[in-house]
Amino acid sequence: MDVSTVTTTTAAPARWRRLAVVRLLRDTTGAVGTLFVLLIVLLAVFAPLITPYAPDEINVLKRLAPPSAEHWMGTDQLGRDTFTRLVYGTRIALLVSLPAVIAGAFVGMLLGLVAGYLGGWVETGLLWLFDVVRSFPALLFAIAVIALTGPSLFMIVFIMALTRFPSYGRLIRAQTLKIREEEFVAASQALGCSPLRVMLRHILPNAVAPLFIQAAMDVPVVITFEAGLSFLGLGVPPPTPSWGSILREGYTYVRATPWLILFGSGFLVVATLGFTFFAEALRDVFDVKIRNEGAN
Amino acid sequence: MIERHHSSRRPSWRPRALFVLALAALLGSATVLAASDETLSVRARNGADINTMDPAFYQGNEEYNVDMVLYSKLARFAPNSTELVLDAAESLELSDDGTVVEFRLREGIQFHHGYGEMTSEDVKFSFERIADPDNDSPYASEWSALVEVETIDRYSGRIILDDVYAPLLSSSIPFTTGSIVSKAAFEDRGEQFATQPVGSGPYYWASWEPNQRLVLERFDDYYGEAPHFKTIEVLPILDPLIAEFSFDVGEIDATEVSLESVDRYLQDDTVVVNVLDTLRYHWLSFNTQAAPFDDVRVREAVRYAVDVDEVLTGAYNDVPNRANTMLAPDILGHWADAPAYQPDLERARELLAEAGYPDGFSTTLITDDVPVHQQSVAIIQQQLRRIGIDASIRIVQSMFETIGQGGAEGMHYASFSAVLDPGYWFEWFSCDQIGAWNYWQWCNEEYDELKDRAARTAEPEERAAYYVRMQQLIDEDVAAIWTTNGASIYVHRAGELDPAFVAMYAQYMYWTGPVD
Amino acid sequence: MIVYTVRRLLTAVATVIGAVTLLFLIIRLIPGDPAVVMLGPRASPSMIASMRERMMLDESVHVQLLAFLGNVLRGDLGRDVLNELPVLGMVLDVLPFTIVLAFGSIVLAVLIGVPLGTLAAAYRNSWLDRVTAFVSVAFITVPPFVAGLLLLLLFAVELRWLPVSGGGVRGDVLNQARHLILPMLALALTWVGYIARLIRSSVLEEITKDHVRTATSKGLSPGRVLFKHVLRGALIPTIAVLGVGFGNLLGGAVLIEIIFNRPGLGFLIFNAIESRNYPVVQGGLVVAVFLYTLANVIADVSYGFVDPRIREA
Repeated sequence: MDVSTVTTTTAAPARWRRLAVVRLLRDTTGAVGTLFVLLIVLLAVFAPLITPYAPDEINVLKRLAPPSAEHWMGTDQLGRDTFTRLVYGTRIALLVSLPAVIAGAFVGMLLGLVAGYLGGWVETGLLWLFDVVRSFPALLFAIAVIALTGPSLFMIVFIMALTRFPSYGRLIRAQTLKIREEEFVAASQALGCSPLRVMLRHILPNAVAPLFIQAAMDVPVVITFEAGLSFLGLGVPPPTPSWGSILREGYTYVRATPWLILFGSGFLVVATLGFTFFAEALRDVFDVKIRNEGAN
Repeated sequence: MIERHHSSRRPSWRPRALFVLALAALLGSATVLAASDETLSVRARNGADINTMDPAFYQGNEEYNVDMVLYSKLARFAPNSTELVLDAAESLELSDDGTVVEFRLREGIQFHHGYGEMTSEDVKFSFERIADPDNDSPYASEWSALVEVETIDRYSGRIILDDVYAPLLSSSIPFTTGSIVSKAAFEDRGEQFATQPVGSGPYYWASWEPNQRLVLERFDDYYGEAPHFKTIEVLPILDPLIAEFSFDVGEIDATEVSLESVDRYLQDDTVVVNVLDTLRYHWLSFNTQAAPFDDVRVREAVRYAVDVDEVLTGAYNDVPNRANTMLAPDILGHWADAPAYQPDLERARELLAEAGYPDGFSTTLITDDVPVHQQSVAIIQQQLRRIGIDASIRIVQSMFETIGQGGAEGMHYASFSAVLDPGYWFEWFSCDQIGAWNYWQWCNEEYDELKDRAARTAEPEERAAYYVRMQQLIDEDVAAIWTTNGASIYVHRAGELDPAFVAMYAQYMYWTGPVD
Repeated sequence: MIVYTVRRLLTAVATVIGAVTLLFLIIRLIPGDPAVVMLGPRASPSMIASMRERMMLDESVHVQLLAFLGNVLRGDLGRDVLNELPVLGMVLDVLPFTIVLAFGSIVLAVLIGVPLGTLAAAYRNSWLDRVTAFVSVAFITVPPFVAGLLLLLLFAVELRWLPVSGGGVRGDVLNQARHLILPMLALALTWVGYIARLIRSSVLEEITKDHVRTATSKGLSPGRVLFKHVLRGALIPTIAVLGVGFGNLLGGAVLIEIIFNRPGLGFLIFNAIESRNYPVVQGGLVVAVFLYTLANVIADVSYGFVDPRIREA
């Protein structure tokens, strides 16, 4: 390995070049990410305009048909158009991930603020709560709960929010601790502002950027999680098209219709890749350090 | 059906007989079981591991298959047939009034693991234990007519009933409730008996790693003919697709495969496909006591909106036959003349209008966590839309757990498993099952009365007539829309294996392979 | 250091107690008689009676909780509803499979990820760096179960190089190793991506540090500088991530275990959920929580060893 390149690049011209290249690279990934995210959102919003079929339109005479001009990605075991189902699947992916992330982030934010600002035993208690919740294997917990309650969109969103909120809580607490030390907070406290006011007015706005980035990073985690549950038949109930259940079907019929699994994973990967790139570009822009821990 | 299938299919290959009618051909070829040192590797039934080998508490999966080779019974089913042959008993006689069975055991039957010779005490212990209400066995009803098992001497005894119990010789004795456990072993091993069982069948319990592997070994002191395979290895491969892959690459010798894979295996000359009709009914039911389905016209409208053949094509790959009534064709009491309803949307709309729903209505369609059921409801949902019924699908883990007690409103699609004796099939439609399994809440007094009478009727033709009438009652009241009795597909490699089944249960003791 | 370790252990104990309490509460929050909930659809009156006694349902809730915690502490995780096997034994039977899988995946991820990340840093902004960056993100974003499916289809079903299902024959190490490869690879991919990126950024951070510059200026060979000074520092943040990763994999490998029909903690719990065997579910989750917390403690403590700043925090 030529380590000299490592050392020489610290020289001024190389550094300049590096920065330019890195920024370009950043822009590329950021651009690709933004593009993918936009694509997913557009597909979700304009699904009925994009495809002439309905996602639950059954035609058993045309079951398991290969890709054709009529059915770009073939049909599934009930003769439903795969492309249509995948396009409508973007809606489910967003319908699960956005509310789950927003709810998790909101609850985590509140608890994190309280922990960071109040400190003391409240902080200890909340940190303990975060640790306890994080120590549960999320997927197994979800399977156990859904086995009892039956699968539904609400349940998945609820469980995801429940298992994701500690990471936001810890993040916001850390941010709050940092900001609390800063002068303007001390100043407003000295001026007799109520704790609530201080938290809302001063601490929260400063903690929003990392929160937003963390949320963007969490979207693919939740999408993957829902896909995993749907793959086990515990996700959004049929005939609602979810990428996970389409993958499951593709897997079941892999010998007859190998394209199903390829197209299915394609959509899933575009979404997760897009949101990851997007979040990372954001992070670089805001220059915030976040450790993505993934779901367990 | 033990038959080799090539590429042509439908309808020629489709064997239609519940109890594997190729029996004659099979017996004609070679049933001499040549003992070998080979291991038979199979996937557990439904891929589910056994839970307990205590015959009083089976959960209904692989336990049944293992039971048949682990325990002896007074009489058992001959290979590929429901014909009874003597097993542990050397004689078995039913009294003329049908309430006493006198048996005499073979002498010298040894229990596994050195628990000594089988005596009439073991028979008494085994049967009375399941019958005893204090033991809470879910199978107690199979012995509900039992007064006691009287031991005459070391080898003989009498099974005394308080009334005729028609399924005695077709179900109670030859099936799992007739398994004879070692009384000494049971008392010795206590609660561990469930996972370290002791029987006297051709194979003994060698080892069990839960969720991984169950190993049965040939019992050298077995009183009957030695089975072909030395070892049976049962693998609980939960996912049917993984089981198919395992079979394809040769990790297992035989497995059940999905209905969808039939086509693929039929095209493979090296694979033999066995299609076994299952003892089940798949059907669409309604909560008959809640609006709108408390109106028989609404139920009838659904009958004319649902295209059963389309459901069978889309969800069942056209493998099993359509069912027009509850009992499968080869079960005593099958209603052969049951009407095969065809969709008639105009009539369906008329009926809805008559019932006061000219524009249809919204309802729920509930089903459980079984892929083929879920695909069926997706198709039915679309069919109902044509007459303005908007059904939203709800998935429950088990029909019983979620809707049994409350009485679920709307429609339901499920399948119930049954046994060879017809009586069991009708159990769940009686009034006293409302609040338990009868979640469609259908209650008909004539039906209930006939059900009780049939159970106490020994004469098969008379019994059959009662059952046909009961099926007509369900039909007249549109209490159910039947789709199929289902099918199980088993595959194995040509020339490597010759399996035997009774109904859909694997009779491993009769399975043979090439002689080495 | 001792103080730090002790403090970390105490938090861990508090976490486990909290998690076990939460589990206890969840079972009781489900509507219906908890004994019936535990037994599932097969409950018979006598089974319910003995389960009620076992769960001490006639006592007050805090007595029940204390008894439950006491049982867990003594290693009594209850018994299988159907066959009376002790749950702890069932868990210990399959645990080695899960630990080997999780550990193997992490080790594999390090073996591939560290060189990949170092290489990317060494040749940063070259095409190699960009390919690595793309590959890393791709690995991170492909869900392990999708990777597992594709690996299974390719290497086990089509090429038939490796076995399809199971954990291998007991006692046959070579056979078990062959069964391990594909599930391990499927789980490792994500972590290869994480580690490669992490190493890349920490190597880039390290090389600007004074002691590295000094070493370079003293004329040490580039290889020596890299291994003695750069990588040593760069590995520190990786350790913490590995602890989290290992903990996550213990319970999170369930989809992979299902796909490969491989025995393990996740698969055991999943099977128990399917057959409504709640004592096994409950006991399995307790062990999963315990192992997760333990893995995190070990990671934190070893992190504290290499990076003294952590201890003071």
